[in-house]
Amino acid sequence: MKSGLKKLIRVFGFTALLIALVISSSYMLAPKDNTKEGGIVNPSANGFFSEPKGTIDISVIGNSDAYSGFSPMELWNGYGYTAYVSGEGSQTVAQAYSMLSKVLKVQTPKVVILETDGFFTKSKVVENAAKIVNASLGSSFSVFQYHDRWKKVKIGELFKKPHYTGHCAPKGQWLSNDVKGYNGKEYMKKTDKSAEIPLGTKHSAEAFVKTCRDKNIGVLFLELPSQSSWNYKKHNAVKKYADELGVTFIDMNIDRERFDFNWKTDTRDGGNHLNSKGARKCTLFLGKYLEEKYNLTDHRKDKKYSRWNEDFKDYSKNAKI
Amino acid sequence: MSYTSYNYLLLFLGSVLIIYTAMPQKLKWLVLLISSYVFYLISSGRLVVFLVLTTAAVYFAGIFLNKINDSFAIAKKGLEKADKKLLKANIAWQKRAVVAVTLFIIFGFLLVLKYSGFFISSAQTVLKLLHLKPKLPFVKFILPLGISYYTLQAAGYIIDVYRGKYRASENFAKVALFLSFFPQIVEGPIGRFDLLADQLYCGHSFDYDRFTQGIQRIVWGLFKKMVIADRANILVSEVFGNYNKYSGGVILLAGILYTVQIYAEFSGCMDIVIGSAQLFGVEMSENFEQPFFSKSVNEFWRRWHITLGAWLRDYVFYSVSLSKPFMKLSRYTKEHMSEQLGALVPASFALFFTWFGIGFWHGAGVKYIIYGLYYYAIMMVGMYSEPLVAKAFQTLKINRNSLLTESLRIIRTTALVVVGMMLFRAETVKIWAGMMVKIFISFSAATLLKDSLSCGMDKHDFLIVALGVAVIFAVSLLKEKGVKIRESLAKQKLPVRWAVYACLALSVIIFGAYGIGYDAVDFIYGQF
Repeated sequence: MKSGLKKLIRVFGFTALLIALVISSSYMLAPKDNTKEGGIVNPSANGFFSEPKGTIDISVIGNSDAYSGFSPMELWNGYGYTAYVSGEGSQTVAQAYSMLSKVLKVQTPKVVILETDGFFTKSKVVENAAKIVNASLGSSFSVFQYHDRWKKVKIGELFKKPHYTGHCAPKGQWLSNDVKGYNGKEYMKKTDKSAEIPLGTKHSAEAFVKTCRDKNIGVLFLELPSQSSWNYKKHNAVKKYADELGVTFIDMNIDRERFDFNWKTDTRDGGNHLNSKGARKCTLFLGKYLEEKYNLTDHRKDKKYSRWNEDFKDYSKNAKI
Repeated sequence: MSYTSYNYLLLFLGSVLIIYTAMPQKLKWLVLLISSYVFYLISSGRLVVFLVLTTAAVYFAGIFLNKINDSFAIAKKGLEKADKKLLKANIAWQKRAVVAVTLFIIFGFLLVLKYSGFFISSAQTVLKLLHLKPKLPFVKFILPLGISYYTLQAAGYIIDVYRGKYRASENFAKVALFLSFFPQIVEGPIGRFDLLADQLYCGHSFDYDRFTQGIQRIVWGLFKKMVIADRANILVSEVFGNYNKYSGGVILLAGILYTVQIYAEFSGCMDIVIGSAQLFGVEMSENFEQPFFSKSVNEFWRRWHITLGAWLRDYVFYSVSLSKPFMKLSRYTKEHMSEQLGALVPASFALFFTWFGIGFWHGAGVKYIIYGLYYYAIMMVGMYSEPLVAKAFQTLKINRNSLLTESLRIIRTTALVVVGMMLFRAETVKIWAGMMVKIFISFSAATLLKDSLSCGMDKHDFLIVALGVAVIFAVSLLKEKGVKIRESLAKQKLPVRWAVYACLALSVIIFGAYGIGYDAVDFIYGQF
């Protein structure tokens, strides 16, 4: 019995040692700045780190549809709300959940918007499971994501506290003025059929929603227009699932005349992603909804937020709308 | 599902071990069987049907052989010697027929699925040479996971039963588990029924020492695969894919690094496999025994992929050696040739089939056959020139067993292996020949350092690979000298042990070539 206890203590002891080493190496190898030079992956998605703490009202998390189709600067100009898009190419919901955890470390958003295209990121059950484990490990211990930084990191940097200096004026939006219209058939043909949301995705989505609710943050499921990646079956699936969770789902692929959307002028790549014009239309429409449903403050005249006005000027120079 | 993935290590292996430990003794085999089939279904989907059919074929053939043997045992009682002999001959014919049909079925799957494309393209080439314009269909099947391994295991089982080494199992689950056990299904080691089946079936209680040893072995395997092999792959795939761009020195470096990669990867995989099996109390055969300390190519192949070599020795070499035509040849050479040649000629005849088999087993292509015959040719040169070499050493009064001579023999063997590995890795024999020519005509030591840093690996990568190789070399050297490293380490004080284990685990996490910026590299031998 004594020997059994001794062995158990050893197992826990060694595991604790290993975890301590992993935590220390995570600290040492994690990028100390959210810039490309600082070594962070996807600097624009992580730009919220360098926004003053607790200044972001709305966090938008999703894949390329999110960073192409949502414009924080238009929302600022139209409504005075501060939003940041943390979008990653082909992001899964597990990765979205991991991103949410990072956002909540430094920001206290009142609303979190989850773009739902990631509910259907094509991958097998096994790949999905791997992505979930990968995202969880990566968000808990950054050494799994940034282990290769041992090549570049300087000794003095190892124990330095993070200091985030990266500034992203469009607040995570990928600004594109390209126009490559979509002239094909209508893709949202009404049907009663429904696509299937993978179990692993549901698990991550539920964790996402629960985290927000625990912190009293409003959650919104959003689908921005995308001809090539969306259809009515997916709409039905997300609508049903959102109802089950008690989450509002806004599908902007339906009734697009509400916000004067035009596939010939509002997409940069023939119907997959939106350009700056399309993003503007979608964001202003959403802004109205946010204004009606959430008690958000207009910060445009607040001196603390004067940098946002400068950023808008920057944005306006680049966005040819 | 790769053995280095989180899915395998954390989710699959972890949950199977917990369920296995929690199950009553009698049902533990069921956990292994179900999990093995789940593993197979996840990895290979519907192609599981070939594994089931192969299992069924050898199982029923084994039962049939048992029945034939039993009926012979009853029938022979009270028979005269002559009648007994007649009956035995009849029985032997029946048994041969059963084994032949079974082997035809199981190797039929392998030949059709793995080699039909090769056969069709070869037929097409022959018909073109005859000035015919053939329109043969292009056929390429998806290979079921581990078919080259479980087919050999299945064949070994039925041949052993036929030879009377043991009685066929009447328990279908036992045979199914023997052929499908998930740690070994991807790359072997090629197991033997009499060594493995009972271990798998009987069920083992949780054992702390076995558990820690299994985990240590898995981490050691991950170190070899992820830190060394996958990092070396960066330069290897670049240079082998575009050899024309590079100087001879870089091509030689790529050949050496590929040899490092394939050894670290295959032996690393075996460490993960053996470690995984150890967690369930199953001891599997070793597949490597410090092959790069071999003094001859012959010895190298006794230490490299040991279970394949042993399988070919037991079921091909001996089968050929003991066949009637071979015995006739052997008698003829002994009568008509010198004593030495009389022994060598039949052996070289039997070895031809073994080496042809090794080459052909590795892949459906001329390149692989030449790969096998390359080693066959080296061995033949060695065997036939041995008397001359021995005489030369004697005349020159050089001690063949001195440290210097032995070291030179090791270097020579390694060089020959590197050339063989380059043939194995090159897309075609023509490309391999081109690479070999470039090594000799455009070797520039002056630009080697600069050139080698332009192939995807930076100086940090080289440093890690070099340190990793140094660690493997040190461990191999100690093992070669008879030091039992794990036992020695286990005797050290706790802080020393923990420091070693923690360093190993942490080096995999930090220096492993995985994640952003790295392509996942499939196990090379898993593709056979």
